[in-house]
Amino acid sequence: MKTETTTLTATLEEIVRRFAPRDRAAIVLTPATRLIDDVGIDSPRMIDVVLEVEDRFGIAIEDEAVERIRTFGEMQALIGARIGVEV
Amino acid sequence: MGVVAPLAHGLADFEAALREGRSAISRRPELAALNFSCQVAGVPEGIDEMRDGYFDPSVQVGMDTSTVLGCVAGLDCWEDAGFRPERSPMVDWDTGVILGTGIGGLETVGKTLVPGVDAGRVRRLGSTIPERIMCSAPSARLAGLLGTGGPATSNSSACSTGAEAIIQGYWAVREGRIDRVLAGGCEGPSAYTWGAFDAMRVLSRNFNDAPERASRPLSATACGFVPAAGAGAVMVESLESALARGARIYAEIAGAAVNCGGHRNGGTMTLGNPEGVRRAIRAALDDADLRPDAIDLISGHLTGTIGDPLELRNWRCALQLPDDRFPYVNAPKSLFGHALGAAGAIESVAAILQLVRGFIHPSRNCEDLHPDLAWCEPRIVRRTLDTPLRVVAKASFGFGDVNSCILFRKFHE
Repeated sequence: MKTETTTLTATLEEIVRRFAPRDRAAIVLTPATRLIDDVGIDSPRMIDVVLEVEDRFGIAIEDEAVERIRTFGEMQALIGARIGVEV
Repeated sequence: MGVVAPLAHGLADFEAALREGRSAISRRPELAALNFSCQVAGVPEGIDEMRDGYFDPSVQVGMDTSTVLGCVAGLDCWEDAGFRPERSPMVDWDTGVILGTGIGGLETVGKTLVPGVDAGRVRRLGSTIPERIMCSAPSARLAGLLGTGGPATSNSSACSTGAEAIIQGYWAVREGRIDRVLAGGCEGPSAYTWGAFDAMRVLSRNFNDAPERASRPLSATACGFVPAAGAGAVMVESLESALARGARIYAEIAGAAVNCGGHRNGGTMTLGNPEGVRRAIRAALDDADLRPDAIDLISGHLTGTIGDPLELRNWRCALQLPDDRFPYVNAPKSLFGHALGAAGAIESVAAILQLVRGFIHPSRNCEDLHPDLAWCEPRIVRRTLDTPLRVVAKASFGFGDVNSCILFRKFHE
């Protein structure tokens, strides 16, 4: 389970960093990191992050759930719950 | 200035290629695979490397290739104009951006938007389509990268777009509305764009096996234009502002004019009303308060179509000069093809480089001059000519019967 959690976190980090502006791509991502305010991913780009996540994990995430995501930890928790990995 | 041309990326390489009279037209297997009649084109090299080198991945996802080319030329222009390449957190309220395109983000429309919508996969399109396909995509992106706070807009007037952008910038600065405008045009390489013209039978089709001979403005065997992609940009600035900040000044815009022939008097959507062309030329001269014999070089629109002899006949009528005093003429498209909405901007950069450095690049592939052009044969430059230039005219004409003419004058402090 720990390995799966690490893989989930690493995958999400990689995706989030790819959509972050270059000057924030190296930001340390903690569960409390805010995706919009801290990482600089604006709300339209969150759509692209989620599409990438859906492709990587083979899941579908409804828009309403996406709208509730504010932090990296909330994203980890949501995706973890969908793929059965404890975060 | 900044330029991304099929010949070269950057002013120094571009100037060297112009001097050499090098052809940048290459065979395009992708067009052959799509059954195009024209299977050659002028495409800048290293577009993917430019995209990665200039833009964050997070920015790249929102850029069609047309915008990539326009922004590379724009960023190069910004730095060449003496501004710092680092992104400032401050807004520069004294600079505007007019970066036009003739066709824009059609590659994104064709490859991503239409297939996605038609397949019922709208939800999967992602968020970036509007910023990739909106007509103002090039200017919007560049203004955001630079942090400019003046007007940011993308003009569009077919093949006159690039020159017209510069003229609009010139007007804005001359009227005192703003200190400077980064102006130019861009066009991406796209089979969707070029397919539309191939279908019209206006692209070169008889020289697919000899790409360097395919673009033949002024030639008796011209058989259509060679499509191209690229971008050009110039910083149009008030003299006062440029001097105050110690900017390098390449040239002065002595005068300019834009008009439309109104699709009358032989003008149509695709052919120019001769009176419109002549009026644009004369209006530019009037604007500059110059006499016709002040023009040393005409950097023609000259595409390699039936319009070439008509274009020079219009110049002859507009200038009313003895044939032996007609300005020199060259055809930049003979070297790198026709970059549509970017053409006037790339060719303006070429015109200014020739003006500043004192040379005229050769026109390729007109050794068999069109018989209707015998009257001006001595004035058509076929080999690189080193000569001082005072005024260079850049003219662009486009579908819609639109015309533009800029007179660049050598700057003397």
